[in-house]
Amino acid sequence: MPSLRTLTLAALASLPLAAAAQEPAPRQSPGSATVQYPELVEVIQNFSKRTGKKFIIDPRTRANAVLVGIDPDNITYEQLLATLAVNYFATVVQDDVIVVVPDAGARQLPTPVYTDLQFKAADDEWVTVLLTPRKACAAQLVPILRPLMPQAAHMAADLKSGSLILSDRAANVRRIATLVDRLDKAATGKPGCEIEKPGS
Amino acid sequence: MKPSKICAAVLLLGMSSLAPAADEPGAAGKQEVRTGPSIELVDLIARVAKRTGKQFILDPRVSATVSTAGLDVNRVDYPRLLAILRVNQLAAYEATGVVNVMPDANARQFAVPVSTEIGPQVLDDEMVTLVVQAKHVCAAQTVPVLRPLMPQAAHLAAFPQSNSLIISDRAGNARKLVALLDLLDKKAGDLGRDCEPGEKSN
Repeated sequence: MPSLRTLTLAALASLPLAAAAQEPAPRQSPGSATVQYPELVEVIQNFSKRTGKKFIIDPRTRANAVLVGIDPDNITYEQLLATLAVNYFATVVQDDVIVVVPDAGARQLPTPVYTDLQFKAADDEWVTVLLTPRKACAAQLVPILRPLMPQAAHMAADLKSGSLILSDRAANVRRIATLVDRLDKAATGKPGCEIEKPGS
Repeated sequence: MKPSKICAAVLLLGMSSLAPAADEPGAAGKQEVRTGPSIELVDLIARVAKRTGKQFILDPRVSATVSTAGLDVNRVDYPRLLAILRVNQLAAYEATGVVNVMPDANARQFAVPVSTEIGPQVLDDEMVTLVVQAKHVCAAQTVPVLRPLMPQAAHLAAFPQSNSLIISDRAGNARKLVALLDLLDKKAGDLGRDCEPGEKSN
Protein backbone atom coordinates (compact mmCIF):
# COMPACT_ATOMS: atom_id res chain seq x y z
CA MET A 1 0.00 0.00 0.00
CA PRO A 2 2.66 2.61 0.84
CA SER A 3 4.57 1.83 -2.33
CA LEU A 4 1.37 2.14 -4.35
CA ARG A 5 0.64 5.50 -2.77
CA THR A 6 4.14 6.68 -3.57
CA LEU A 7 3.66 5.60 -7.14
CA THR A 8 0.41 7.51 -7.49
CA LEU A 9 2.08 10.49 -5.91
CA ALA A 10 4.97 10.30 -8.31
CA ALA A 11 2.52 10.09 -11.17
CA LEU A 12 0.62 13.10 -9.84
CA ALA A 13 3.83 15.04 -9.44
CA SER A 14 4.83 14.41 -13.02
CA LEU A 15 1.47 15.60 -14.36
CA PRO A 16 1.89 19.30 -13.64
CA LEU A 17 5.44 19.00 -14.95
CA ALA A 18 4.11 17.95 -18.32
CA ALA A 19 1.45 20.63 -18.23
CA ALA A 20 3.95 23.35 -17.46
CA ALA A 21 6.30 22.18 -20.19
CA GLN A 22 3.69 23.39 -22.65
CA GLU A 23 3.69 26.90 -21.29
CA PRO A 24 6.88 27.71 -19.40
CA ALA A 25 6.75 31.48 -19.84
CA PRO A 26 4.96 33.64 -17.27
CA ARG A 27 1.56 34.72 -18.49
CA GLN A 28 0.45 38.27 -18.17
CA SER A 29 -2.22 40.17 -19.97
CA PRO A 30 -3.21 43.77 -19.23
CA GLY A 31 -5.34 44.09 -16.10
CA SER A 32 -4.14 40.82 -14.59
CA ALA A 33 -1.35 39.76 -12.27
CA THR A 34 1.50 37.52 -13.40
CA VAL A 35 0.94 33.78 -13.32
CA GLN A 36 4.17 31.85 -12.83
CA TYR A 37 4.90 28.13 -12.97
CA PRO A 38 8.29 27.75 -11.25
CA GLU A 39 9.86 24.38 -10.39
CA LEU A 40 9.48 23.77 -6.65
CA VAL A 41 13.14 22.83 -6.26
CA GLU A 42 14.24 26.05 -7.94
CA VAL A 43 12.02 28.11 -5.67
CA ILE A 44 13.56 26.37 -2.65
CA GLN A 45 17.09 26.90 -4.02
CA ASN A 46 16.52 30.61 -4.54
CA PHE A 47 14.95 30.97 -1.11
CA SER A 48 17.88 29.12 0.48
CA LYS A 49 20.42 31.36 -1.26
CA ARG A 50 18.57 34.46 -0.13
CA THR A 51 17.98 33.48 3.50
CA GLY A 52 20.78 31.02 4.28
CA LYS A 53 18.26 28.37 5.44
CA LYS A 54 19.30 24.78 4.82
CA PHE A 55 17.04 22.26 3.10
CA ILE A 56 17.09 18.52 2.51
CA ILE A 57 14.81 17.76 -0.42
CA ASP A 58 13.28 14.39 -1.19
CA PRO A 59 14.08 13.44 -4.82
CA ARG A 60 10.33 13.03 -5.46
CA THR A 61 9.84 16.77 -4.87
CA ARG A 62 9.16 17.48 -8.50
CA ALA A 63 6.30 19.73 -9.43
CA ASN A 64 5.64 23.13 -10.84
CA ALA A 65 3.96 25.54 -8.49
CA VAL A 66 1.19 27.77 -9.81
CA LEU A 67 1.71 31.21 -8.29
CA VAL A 68 -0.53 34.18 -9.01
CA GLY A 69 0.77 37.58 -7.97
CA ILE A 70 3.63 36.01 -5.99
CA ASP A 71 7.21 36.57 -7.11
CA PRO A 72 8.99 33.21 -6.66
CA ASP A 73 12.31 35.04 -6.22
CA ASN A 74 10.98 37.01 -3.27
CA ILE A 75 8.80 34.35 -1.71
CA THR A 76 8.52 34.42 2.09
CA TYR A 77 9.08 31.38 4.32
CA GLU A 78 5.33 31.05 5.03
CA GLN A 79 4.49 31.37 1.34
CA LEU A 80 7.10 28.75 0.43
CA LEU A 81 5.65 26.28 2.95
CA ALA A 82 2.11 27.02 1.75
CA THR A 83 3.18 26.42 -1.84
CA LEU A 84 4.68 23.07 -0.87
CA ALA A 85 1.54 22.18 1.10
CA VAL A 86 -0.78 22.94 -1.81
CA ASN A 87 1.36 20.57 -3.91
CA TYR A 88 1.10 17.83 -1.25
CA PHE A 89 4.59 18.17 0.15
CA ALA A 90 5.35 18.46 3.85
CA THR A 91 8.09 20.36 5.63
CA VAL A 92 9.61 19.04 8.81
CA VAL A 93 12.05 21.15 10.79
CA GLN A 94 14.93 19.11 12.20
CA ASP A 95 17.35 21.30 14.16
CA ASP A 96 18.53 23.88 11.63
CA VAL A 97 17.57 21.86 8.55
CA ILE A 98 14.19 21.85 6.82
CA VAL A 99 13.27 18.49 5.31
CA VAL A 100 10.89 18.48 2.32
CA VAL A 101 9.08 15.20 1.55
CA PRO A 102 5.83 14.09 -0.13
CA ASP A 103 3.31 14.53 2.68
CA ALA A 104 2.31 10.84 2.77
CA GLY A 105 5.59 10.11 4.57
CA ALA A 106 5.64 13.12 6.87
CA ARG A 107 4.16 11.47 9.96
CA GLN A 108 6.95 8.89 9.95
CA LEU A 109 9.63 11.55 10.28
CA PRO A 110 11.07 12.75 13.58
CA THR A 111 9.07 15.95 14.06
CA PRO A 112 9.10 18.08 17.19
CA VAL A 113 6.64 16.79 19.84
CA TYR A 114 4.55 19.26 21.81
CA THR A 115 2.11 18.78 24.67
CA ASP A 116 0.64 22.24 24.95
CA LEU A 117 -0.96 24.51 22.42
CA GLN A 118 1.45 27.38 22.78
CA PHE A 119 4.03 25.73 20.54
CA LYS A 120 5.84 27.93 18.08
CA ALA A 121 5.79 26.51 14.58
CA ALA A 122 4.96 28.06 11.22
CA ASP A 123 1.46 27.18 10.00
CA ASP A 124 2.58 24.62 7.45
CA GLU A 125 5.37 22.95 9.42
CA TRP A 126 4.62 19.34 10.33
CA VAL A 127 4.34 18.69 14.09
CA THR A 128 3.30 15.94 16.49
CA VAL A 129 1.15 16.92 19.47
CA LEU A 130 -0.09 14.95 22.46
CA LEU A 131 -3.34 16.21 23.97
CA THR A 132 -4.94 15.02 27.21
CA PRO A 133 -8.54 16.19 27.58
CA ARG A 134 -9.74 16.45 31.19
CA LYS A 135 -13.23 15.03 30.76
CA ALA A 136 -13.87 14.19 27.12
CA CYS A 137 -13.38 10.59 26.00
CA ALA A 138 -10.39 10.65 23.65
CA ALA A 139 -11.49 7.51 21.79
CA GLN A 140 -14.86 9.09 20.96
CA LEU A 141 -13.17 12.19 19.58
CA VAL A 142 -11.23 10.29 16.93
CA PRO A 143 -14.10 9.38 14.55
CA ILE A 144 -15.63 12.86 14.70
CA LEU A 145 -12.39 14.82 14.25
CA ARG A 146 -10.33 12.59 11.98
CA PRO A 147 -12.28 13.63 8.83
CA LEU A 148 -11.04 17.19 9.39
CA MET A 149 -7.46 16.04 8.84
CA PRO A 150 -5.80 15.08 5.55
CA GLN A 151 -5.19 11.43 4.80
CA ALA A 152 -1.48 11.91 5.32
CA ALA A 153 -2.05 13.07 8.90
CA HIS A 154 -2.45 10.84 11.94
CA MET A 155 -4.86 10.84 14.87
CA ALA A 156 -5.16 8.14 17.51
CA ALA A 157 -6.40 7.80 21.07
CA ASP A 158 -4.67 6.01 23.92
CA LEU A 159 -7.29 4.56 26.28
CA LYS A 160 -5.27 4.20 29.47
CA SER A 161 -3.93 7.74 29.49
CA GLY A 162 -6.99 9.22 27.77
CA SER A 163 -4.70 11.05 25.35
CA LEU A 164 -4.86 11.95 21.70
CA ILE A 165 -1.89 11.84 19.37
CA LEU A 166 -2.03 14.24 16.43
CA SER A 167 0.44 14.46 13.58
CA ASP A 168 -0.34 17.12 10.97
CA ARG A 169 0.57 20.60 9.80
CA ALA A 170 0.76 23.03 12.72
CA ALA A 171 -2.19 25.21 11.65
CA ASN A 172 -4.53 22.23 11.41
CA VAL A 173 -3.26 20.75 14.68
CA ARG A 174 -4.09 24.08 16.33
CA ARG A 175 -7.60 23.93 14.87
CA ILE A 176 -8.19 20.33 16.00
CA ALA A 177 -6.77 21.11 19.43
CA THR A 178 -9.10 24.11 19.73
CA LEU A 179 -12.04 21.85 18.87
CA VAL A 180 -10.92 19.28 21.46
CA ASP A 181 -10.64 22.07 24.01
CA ARG A 182 -14.13 23.42 23.26
CA LEU A 183 -15.71 19.95 23.41
CA ASP A 184 -13.81 19.08 26.55
CA LYS A 185 -14.90 22.25 28.36
CA ALA A 186 -18.55 21.60 27.48
CA ALA A 187 -18.43 17.91 28.47
CA THR A 188 -20.69 16.86 31.32
CA GLY A 189 -20.84 13.78 33.51
CA LYS A 190 -17.98 11.57 34.55
CA PRO A 191 -14.58 12.02 32.93
CA GLY A 192 -13.42 9.29 30.56
CA CYS A 193 -15.20 6.85 28.31
CA GLU A 194 -17.74 5.16 30.63
CA ILE A 195 -21.17 5.15 29.05
CA GLU A 196 -23.80 6.58 31.37
CA LYS A 197 -26.84 4.39 31.85
CA PRO A 198 -30.18 6.16 32.01
CA GLY A 199 -31.24 6.66 35.58
CA SER A 200 -27.82 5.82 37.04
CA MET B 1 -4.81 27.16 -24.83
CA LYS B 2 -3.03 25.33 -27.65
CA PRO B 3 -4.22 25.93 -31.20
CA SER B 4 -5.14 22.25 -31.59
CA LYS B 5 -7.35 22.46 -28.49
CA ILE B 6 -9.04 25.60 -29.80
CA CYS B 7 -9.66 23.81 -33.09
CA ALA B 8 -11.24 20.91 -31.22
CA ALA B 9 -13.34 23.28 -29.13
CA VAL B 10 -14.51 25.20 -32.19
CA LEU B 11 -15.32 21.93 -33.91
CA LEU B 12 -17.33 20.77 -30.88
CA LEU B 13 -19.12 24.09 -30.67
CA GLY B 14 -19.94 23.90 -34.34
CA MET B 15 -21.30 20.40 -33.96
CA SER B 16 -23.40 21.18 -30.90
CA SER B 17 -24.99 24.21 -32.53
CA LEU B 18 -25.51 22.29 -35.76
CA ALA B 19 -27.47 19.43 -34.24
CA PRO B 20 -30.40 21.44 -32.80
CA ALA B 21 -30.33 23.74 -35.80
CA ALA B 22 -31.26 20.79 -37.99
CA ASP B 23 -34.29 20.08 -35.80
CA GLU B 24 -35.53 23.60 -35.21
CA PRO B 25 -33.84 26.27 -37.30
CA GLY B 26 -34.91 29.13 -35.05
CA ALA B 27 -32.99 27.84 -32.00
CA ALA B 28 -29.49 28.50 -33.36
CA GLY B 29 -29.30 31.95 -31.74
CA LYS B 30 -29.99 30.56 -28.27
CA GLN B 31 -27.15 28.07 -28.57
CA GLU B 32 -24.67 30.87 -29.16
CA VAL B 33 -25.66 32.55 -25.93
CA ARG B 34 -25.18 29.36 -23.96
CA THR B 35 -21.74 28.56 -25.28
CA GLY B 36 -20.68 32.21 -25.43
CA PRO B 37 -17.30 33.67 -24.51
CA SER B 38 -15.26 32.04 -21.78
CA ILE B 39 -12.08 32.61 -19.78
CA GLU B 40 -9.54 30.24 -18.27
CA LEU B 41 -9.93 30.14 -14.49
CA VAL B 42 -6.21 30.89 -14.01
CA ASP B 43 -6.59 34.07 -16.05
CA LEU B 44 -9.66 35.07 -14.09
CA ILE B 45 -7.78 34.57 -10.81
CA ALA B 46 -4.89 36.63 -12.18
CA ARG B 47 -7.29 39.50 -12.87
CA VAL B 48 -8.76 39.31 -9.38
CA ALA B 49 -5.22 39.17 -7.96
CA LYS B 50 -4.25 42.30 -9.83
CA ARG B 51 -7.29 44.25 -8.72
CA THR B 52 -7.48 43.13 -5.09
CA GLY B 53 -3.75 42.80 -4.43
CA LYS B 54 -4.35 39.27 -3.10
CA GLN B 55 -1.79 36.55 -3.76
CA PHE B 56 -2.83 33.04 -4.82
CA ILE B 57 -1.26 29.60 -4.71
CA LEU B 58 -3.07 27.12 -6.93
CA ASP B 59 -3.26 23.37 -6.69
CA PRO B 60 -1.79 22.02 -9.97
CA ARG B 61 -5.15 20.31 -10.62
CA VAL B 62 -6.94 23.66 -10.67
CA SER B 63 -8.00 24.16 -14.24
CA ALA B 64 -11.39 25.11 -15.54
CA THR B 65 -12.96 27.22 -18.22
CA VAL B 66 -15.46 29.73 -16.90
CA SER B 67 -18.27 30.92 -19.11
CA THR B 68 -18.30 34.71 -19.03
CA ALA B 69 -21.91 35.06 -20.13
CA GLY B 70 -23.30 37.94 -18.10
CA LEU B 71 -19.98 38.31 -16.30
CA ASP B 72 -17.61 41.26 -16.64
CA VAL B 73 -14.22 39.60 -16.11
CA ASN B 74 -12.71 42.92 -15.06
CA ARG B 75 -15.26 43.37 -12.31
CA VAL B 76 -15.22 39.96 -10.66
CA ASP B 77 -14.50 40.60 -6.97
CA TYR B 78 -13.28 38.15 -4.34
CA PRO B 79 -16.74 36.97 -3.13
CA ARG B 80 -17.79 36.39 -6.75
CA LEU B 81 -14.56 34.51 -7.44
CA LEU B 82 -15.27 32.22 -4.47
CA ALA B 83 -18.71 31.48 -5.91
CA ILE B 84 -17.19 30.70 -9.31
CA LEU B 85 -14.70 28.37 -7.62
CA ARG B 86 -17.55 26.65 -5.77
CA VAL B 87 -19.48 25.82 -8.92
CA ASN B 88 -16.25 24.39 -10.35
CA GLN B 89 -15.83 22.08 -7.31
CA LEU B 90 -12.96 24.15 -5.99
CA ALA B 91 -12.47 25.89 -2.67
CA ALA B 92 -10.17 28.62 -1.40
CA TYR B 93 -8.98 29.72 1.98
CA GLU B 94 -6.82 32.61 3.03
CA ALA B 95 -3.94 31.99 5.43
CA THR B 96 -0.92 34.18 6.21
CA GLY B 97 -2.00 36.59 3.50
CA VAL B 98 -2.11 34.01 0.72
CA VAL B 99 -5.19 32.45 -0.84
CA ASN B 100 -4.83 28.70 -1.39
CA VAL B 101 -7.04 27.22 -4.11
CA MET B 102 -7.67 23.47 -4.01
CA PRO B 103 -10.31 20.92 -5.07
CA ASP B 104 -13.17 21.20 -2.57
CA ALA B 105 -12.79 17.58 -1.48
CA ASN B 106 -9.92 19.01 0.60
CA ALA B 107 -11.97 21.90 1.94
CA ARG B 108 -12.81 20.44 5.34
CA GLN B 109 -9.10 19.92 5.94
CA PHE B 110 -8.40 23.64 5.56
CA ALA B 111 -7.10 24.99 8.85
CA VAL B 112 -9.77 27.67 9.21
CA PRO B 113 -10.06 29.04 12.76
CA VAL B 114 -12.67 27.47 15.05
CA SER B 115 -15.60 29.64 16.08
CA THR B 116 -18.94 29.24 17.82
CA GLU B 117 -20.84 31.55 15.50
CA ILE B 118 -20.45 32.98 12.02
CA GLY B 119 -19.77 36.70 12.01
CA PRO B 120 -21.68 38.87 9.52
CA GLN B 121 -18.42 39.77 7.76
CA VAL B 122 -17.73 36.15 6.78
CA LEU B 123 -18.35 35.64 3.05
CA ASP B 124 -20.96 33.04 2.07
CA ASP B 125 -18.42 30.89 0.24
CA GLU B 126 -15.66 31.02 2.83
CA MET B 127 -15.05 27.84 4.80
CA VAL B 128 -15.86 27.81 8.52
CA THR B 129 -15.28 25.38 11.38
CA LEU B 130 -18.00 25.67 14.00
CA VAL B 131 -18.72 24.13 17.38
CA VAL B 132 -22.41 24.47 18.16
CA GLN B 133 -23.93 23.68 21.53
CA ALA B 134 -27.36 22.04 21.59
CA LYS B 135 -29.48 22.80 24.66
CA HIS B 136 -32.60 20.65 24.37
CA VAL B 137 -32.21 18.37 21.34
CA CYS B 138 -29.68 15.54 21.27
CA ALA B 139 -26.84 16.66 19.02
CA ALA B 140 -26.28 13.09 17.81
CA GLN B 141 -29.93 12.74 16.75
CA THR B 142 -29.75 15.84 14.54
CA VAL B 143 -26.84 14.48 12.46
CA PRO B 144 -28.86 12.14 10.19
CA VAL B 145 -31.53 14.85 9.89
CA LEU B 146 -29.16 17.65 8.86
CA ARG B 147 -26.30 15.87 7.10
CA PRO B 148 -28.19 15.43 3.78
CA LEU B 149 -28.45 19.23 3.59
CA MET B 150 -24.67 19.50 3.29
CA PRO B 151 -22.34 18.75 0.38
CA GLN B 152 -20.37 15.55 0.57
CA ALA B 153 -17.10 17.41 1.09
CA ALA B 154 -18.46 19.06 4.25
CA HIS B 155 -18.35 17.57 7.74
CA LEU B 156 -20.98 17.24 10.46
CA ALA B 157 -20.44 15.23 13.62
CA ALA B 158 -21.85 15.14 17.13
CA PHE B 159 -19.93 14.72 20.37
CA PRO B 160 -22.49 13.27 22.80
CA GLN B 161 -20.48 13.95 25.97
CA SER B 162 -20.86 17.69 25.54
CA ASN B 163 -23.99 17.50 23.36
CA SER B 164 -22.29 19.61 20.70
CA LEU B 165 -22.02 19.53 16.93
CA ILE B 166 -18.98 20.15 14.77
CA ILE B 167 -19.71 21.76 11.41
CA SER B 168 -17.19 22.27 8.63
CA ASP B 169 -18.77 23.79 5.54
CA ARG B 170 -19.10 26.99 3.57
CA ALA B 171 -20.40 29.85 5.71
CA GLY B 172 -23.60 30.31 3.70
CA ASN B 173 -24.68 26.72 4.17
CA ALA B 174 -23.44 26.61 7.76
CA ARG B 175 -25.70 29.60 8.54
CA LYS B 176 -28.66 27.61 7.24
CA LEU B 177 -27.75 24.60 9.39
CA VAL B 178 -27.27 26.69 12.52
CA ALA B 179 -30.63 28.39 11.91
CA LEU B 180 -32.32 24.99 11.55
CA LEU B 181 -30.63 23.66 14.65
CA ASP B 182 -31.71 26.74 16.64
CA LEU B 183 -35.31 26.20 15.50
CA LEU B 184 -35.23 22.50 16.42
CA ASP B 185 -33.71 23.36 19.76
CA LYS B 186 -36.30 26.03 20.47
CA LYS B 187 -39.18 23.74 19.50
CA ALA B 188 -37.87 20.97 21.75
CA GLY B 189 -37.48 23.49 24.57
CA ASP B 190 -41.06 24.75 24.07
CA LEU B 191 -42.29 21.17 24.31
CA GLY B 192 -40.29 20.75 27.51
CA ARG B 193 -38.15 17.98 26.04
CA ASP B 194 -34.51 17.53 26.87
CA CYS B 195 -31.72 15.23 25.81
CA GLU B 196 -31.44 12.57 28.52
CA PRO B 197 -27.95 11.23 29.30
CA GLY B 198 -28.90 7.72 28.10
CA GLU B 199 -30.20 9.07 24.79
CA LYS B 200 -27.02 10.87 23.85
CA SER B 201 -25.18 7.93 22.37
CA ASN B 202 -28.08 7.00 20.10
